[in-house]
Amino acid sequence: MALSLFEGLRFKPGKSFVHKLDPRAKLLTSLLILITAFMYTDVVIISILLLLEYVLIRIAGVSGMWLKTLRGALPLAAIIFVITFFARMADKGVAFITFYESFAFAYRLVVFLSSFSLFFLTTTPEEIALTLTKLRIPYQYTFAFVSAIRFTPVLAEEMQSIMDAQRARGLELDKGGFLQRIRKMIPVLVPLLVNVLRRSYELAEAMEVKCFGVSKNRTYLKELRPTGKDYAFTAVVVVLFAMVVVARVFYIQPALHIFGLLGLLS
Amino acid sequence: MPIIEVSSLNYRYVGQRDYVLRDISFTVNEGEFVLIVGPSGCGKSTLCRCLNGLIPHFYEGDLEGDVWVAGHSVRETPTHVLSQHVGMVFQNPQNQLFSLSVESDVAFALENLSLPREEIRRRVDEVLSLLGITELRDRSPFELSGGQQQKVAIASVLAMRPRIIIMDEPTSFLDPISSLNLIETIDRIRKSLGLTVLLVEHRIELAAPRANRIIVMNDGQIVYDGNPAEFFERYDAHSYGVYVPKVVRLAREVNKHVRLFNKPPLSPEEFEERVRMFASHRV
Repeated sequence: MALSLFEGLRFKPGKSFVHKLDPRAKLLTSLLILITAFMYTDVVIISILLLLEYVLIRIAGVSGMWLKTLRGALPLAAIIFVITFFARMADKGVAFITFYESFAFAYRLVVFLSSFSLFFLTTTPEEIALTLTKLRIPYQYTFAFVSAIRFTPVLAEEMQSIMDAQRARGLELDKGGFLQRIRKMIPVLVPLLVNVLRRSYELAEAMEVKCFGVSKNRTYLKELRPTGKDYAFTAVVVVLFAMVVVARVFYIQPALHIFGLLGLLS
Repeated sequence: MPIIEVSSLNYRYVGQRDYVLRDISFTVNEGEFVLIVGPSGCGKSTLCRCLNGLIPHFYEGDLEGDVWVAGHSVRETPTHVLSQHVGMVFQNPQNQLFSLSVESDVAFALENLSLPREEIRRRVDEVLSLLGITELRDRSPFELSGGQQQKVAIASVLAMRPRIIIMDEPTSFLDPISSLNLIETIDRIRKSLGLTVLLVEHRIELAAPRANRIIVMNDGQIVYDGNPAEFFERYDAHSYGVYVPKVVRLAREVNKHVRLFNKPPLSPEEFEERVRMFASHRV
């Protein structure tokens, strides 16, 4: 359950328009979605936001993973709903507006959590690394990020084989209560840690031999080259965001207007 | 012309009482293919590290004697300068590939050296086709077989255009067929680029017939340095912890009955040739 929240942060390969967009354009879009969700608690605006996100996700063909993220966010959203409800109840009482606002806060959280799915689901780790570099993040950090992704499956494999080895010696990993199971992980984690340390030494040696960190102005084989499409896409996103800002300045809250007309706020 | 000169080298790692290398002296000429053998823990890997500057720049310890590689004193030259003359390929292919695609791994060292992008692209293309792995370009190293990974590791080192390649048991994570394939590849590129190769290898049957020379180490010392066939002829390889190739043992058995082999054959081909010659003389 908690893990499905992170499903939306894993890269899904594809060849769609969204996949091919410059990662910086996607990063900006995700960021602006997040900021908009910060600025507004209006259900109508947030729904529009979610709809736009859905359209892009649909084009990319990764809606399955995205929906999993949304579902994973539901328990957290429920917590937010309850907390907000009790906080608001103190000064507004149990009224329609209390329900509405609590719902809007929870709803907004779902958008928060899913906003970066667009970026992470459709951007290769390599592109993410390139983006980090373009953002002038020192190469050491980019390298750490890339090698973390590179070695995750290697370590998963290693952990599996250590678990098998310990099972063969009679360690019952699947039995016992929660605390007991955690304690049983120690004979798996200790060898894993030792292996990781040994591996890191070998990696450091190989990095040394390959001149890691020698030049301050490292060059890059691959580069990001934005095309006309990227500029057009970014322009659309920026215009939409500008509209949101203007609406915020004029304090336009469509949902409250509608409720007012329906006489729900009295 | 000697490209590697080692004279009375002694070394011990920091915090250790005993020397791992004791009184090592040898020279290697440009273009030689030297096989280094010996039991595990005899100092082969340590010797390799002394030749590309990991010792004394990465590992601390006591280093005595002189090591000159491609005109550079290893003691005074940083590893990243030496790396451009001596390429080093390690045992575990997993731990020398850091990137998410073969292409960026091959480009890694060149990027670190801040070569212009066009030059990097040219060299990457060149080494990928040299090793016959162009089609792996966009694959992730994790998805590759051990043999393919090791070829990528070799490519990533060759991209720096070193004149010497040192390989520390490159086949120990590979199956027999991949090992044969890798050793053949090494031999092929060595000949086409005129490289000097130092190969530490336990699979003597694969490497010995291709090497010009064998250095046998035992307990931190060089116990034999010379022609591979002569070593198996004159010495009891087993007592030095060196595996005797089956074809050598077979020739010894044959020699007990008919003195067919003046020097031990190192490959089945050599064996066959000698038998064929013998048979045609008889007729």
